[in-house]
Amino acid sequence: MTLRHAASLLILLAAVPLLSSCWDKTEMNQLALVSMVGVDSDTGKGTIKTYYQIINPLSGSSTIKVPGGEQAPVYTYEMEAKSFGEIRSLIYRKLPRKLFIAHYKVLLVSERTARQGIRDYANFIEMQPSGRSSIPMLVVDGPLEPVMKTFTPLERVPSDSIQARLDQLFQNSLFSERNIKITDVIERMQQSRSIVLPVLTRTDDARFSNSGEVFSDIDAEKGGFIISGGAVFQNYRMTGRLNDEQLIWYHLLEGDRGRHVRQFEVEGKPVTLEFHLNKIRRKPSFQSGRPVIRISMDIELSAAYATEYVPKSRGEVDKLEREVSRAIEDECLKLFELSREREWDLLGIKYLLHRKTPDHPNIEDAEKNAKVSIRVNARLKKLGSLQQPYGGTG
Amino acid sequence: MAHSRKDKQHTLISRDLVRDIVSALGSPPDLFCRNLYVPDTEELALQCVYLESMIDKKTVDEYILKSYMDSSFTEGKAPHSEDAENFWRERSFAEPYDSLKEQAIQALIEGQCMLIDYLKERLCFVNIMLPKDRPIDEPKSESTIRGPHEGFTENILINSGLIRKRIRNPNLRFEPMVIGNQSKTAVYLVYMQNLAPDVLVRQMRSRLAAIQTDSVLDSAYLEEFLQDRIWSPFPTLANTERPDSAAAHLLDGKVAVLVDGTPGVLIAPITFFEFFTSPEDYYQRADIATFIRWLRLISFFTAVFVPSLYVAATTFHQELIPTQLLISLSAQREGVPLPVLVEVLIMEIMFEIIREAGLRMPRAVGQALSIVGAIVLGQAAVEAGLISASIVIVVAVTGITNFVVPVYSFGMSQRLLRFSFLIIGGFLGLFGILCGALLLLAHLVSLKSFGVPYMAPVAPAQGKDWKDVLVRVPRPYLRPRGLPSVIERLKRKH
Repeated sequence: MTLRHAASLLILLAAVPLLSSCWDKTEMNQLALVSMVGVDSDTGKGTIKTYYQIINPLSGSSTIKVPGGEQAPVYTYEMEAKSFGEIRSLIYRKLPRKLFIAHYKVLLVSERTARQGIRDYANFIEMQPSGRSSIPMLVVDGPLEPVMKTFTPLERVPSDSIQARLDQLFQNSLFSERNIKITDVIERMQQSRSIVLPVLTRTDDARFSNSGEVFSDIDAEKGGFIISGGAVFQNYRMTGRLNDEQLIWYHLLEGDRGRHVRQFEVEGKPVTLEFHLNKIRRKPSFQSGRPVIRISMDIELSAAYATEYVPKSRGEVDKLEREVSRAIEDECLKLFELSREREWDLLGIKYLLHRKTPDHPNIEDAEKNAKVSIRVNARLKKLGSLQQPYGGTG
Repeated sequence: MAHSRKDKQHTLISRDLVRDIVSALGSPPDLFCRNLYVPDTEELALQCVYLESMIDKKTVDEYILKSYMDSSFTEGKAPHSEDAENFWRERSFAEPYDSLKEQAIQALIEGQCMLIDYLKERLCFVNIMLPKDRPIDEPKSESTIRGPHEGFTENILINSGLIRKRIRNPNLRFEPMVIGNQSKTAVYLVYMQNLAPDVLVRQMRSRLAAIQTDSVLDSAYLEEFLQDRIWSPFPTLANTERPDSAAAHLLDGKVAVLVDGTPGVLIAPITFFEFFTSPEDYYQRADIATFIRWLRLISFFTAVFVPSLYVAATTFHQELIPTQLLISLSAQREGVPLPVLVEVLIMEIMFEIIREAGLRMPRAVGQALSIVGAIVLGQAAVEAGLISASIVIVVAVTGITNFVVPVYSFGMSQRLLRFSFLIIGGFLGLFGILCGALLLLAHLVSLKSFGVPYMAPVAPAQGKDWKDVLVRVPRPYLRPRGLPSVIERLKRKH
């Protein structure tokens, strides 16, 4: 019995060196925590430029007193190589710590790279065992380098700032959606669908190289960037852009539930309404061989921000609901027309038809011939606290 | 007066007896020999021999010697009164010399007083042992807010009484035995004849009878002989200082072992989940008792696994840590010269040292020790950059949670496991911790306490008893009658 125990123990001990985690050991202060990655390409030289924004743990830390005053919350490293793989070795010519990308939060792609195609990078991320693809991807309007070297107020780490803004936009507007992660891009592209990713644009050309200057300047927008507009991707390539207005209707048709506030016109008078999607139904069918997509949306309206006009009777409410429904229908149809004109398939018609008739011989043609009808049923559910705005001429 | 060896065998009472006893005991300084002579003669009438440290001297003076002296000595005669005669008749006994000498020595050691009447050649022992027991006090290691506050003492008779007080039932059995070749310690095997399975009582009796040791100074001496498996960090016998707890176990059909000279009473069999129960669970409302039981379970896992998980996560699996927390931990690690494992080990060992020192320090110094410990181990070490602040939190949390478990011996097991898992986690990461946890589980399910599976009633599953494992259901639903399934099965099996 003792011999058996001894043998078991020996086998166990012999197996210990085989355990891979012995070699995995890394202390936390040996890691370079990447918070944001930027990808750019130089078509002239045929090289890829990658920017790594590394978190400086000591910045803003209350536990460790750092000599020399304020430190930058992040440091940006720029690497140029012929392939993404090469960068992992070349980086250590500049970086003193082990590149740790498991915690990066945002991936930025320059517009020129996006237009050339991001398939290689998507493959690179997915092929790595420690690759992380469940993070949002944004397209940068213009050169990538200044954005990667921009400090952000309030959220000291720029990736946190972008992520927080995306979350706020998703909840309080229809300018962004949740499904803008790298995995979503891959999924949509594999389904031959389009996806619209947010676009990051610099507010002005002012640049701060010192974080202290940013955090002490009252002008929060100076030298910063905003999220505005969308980049349309088809087949891993950026093929066009949507403006903010078009983004609203795109996200509505996508089924996003963000509460968006917008000014509508009712009987020629402006009225600001908050609306959000309650329910959306997409019903594909065939009429005399022609595909028909019927989209119906139930939308809830709120007049809590309607300082201009408050409907006072059932009739006025009905009229407001009708007019708003029609306005939304028109805008959505306009977006559909644009999508068809640019051959984008923003409404995912091809995907819907494929699901309806998986054996259809020519989905591409069917999608081009598809008739789309959009019906909106807007209902005013909430009014503001005032029955009537205060009068006067002021 | 010299006696030959032959004379000694036939003459029961002689002056040599006292001399031999004194010599056998090594002329101890507390051995006293009080002589009473027949008045006006040199003739020794009575000798009173005792160990002063063991007896109540006042009783000797006031009741024995005084009453003897008050009796009317007639010249050349022993005092003669009806009472005195009755006293002698009841107590005096005749034995061969060698046997008498042995008994006399034993009696003196046990605190009896030996009276020798030379006139009538008779001898007796009077038990006037000085009670050296502390009063019944609240148990230090198992105190409760609600419920009885009595605790066992070092006196086996008092302890028996405390149990009898709670179980007024003729089926309560006390089987006396003496263990310890040198210490001759009294041990009682206690059980309810109608409830305890025969096999359990037999097993305990035979294990006790098989013990060969020189001394038993505490119940822990016996525990190591009685336990089912020696090489296990888990105790397979419970140890309680609470009579109510002991009574509750006895009423569950278990057996208890009382040892003279120690307040710790051994209980068997015991299961893993019983270490998470406290007598107070049954004196509280069911919902509160359940909540506290869950706290104990969480504390157990915290005490055993938190340091190892911390080391594993921060050394091997940084991707599992939320980003903000990782940044914060990373900031704390900046400039710290030691690896996380070494940091945690040093802190844990320091904590254990301070704890051990605190146990033995005089009360007045204890406070200074805790201040030094808190400042040196905490603030100063962090400020000096020797360790990171989060390590102090980890060690403090594990240190506190270690004390939540109601049974002290189980808390010791936790400490051992914590260090084992810490080493495994430091070298093998979460994979190692998982392997370790599986090995621990395998060990736990293979353990038995007097034939009862250690992990019962969870493994093997005995649904009937689940009412008092992870939850404590209200008393009307909590097996108002009958025995726990594990004991019931043991009873049925044999």
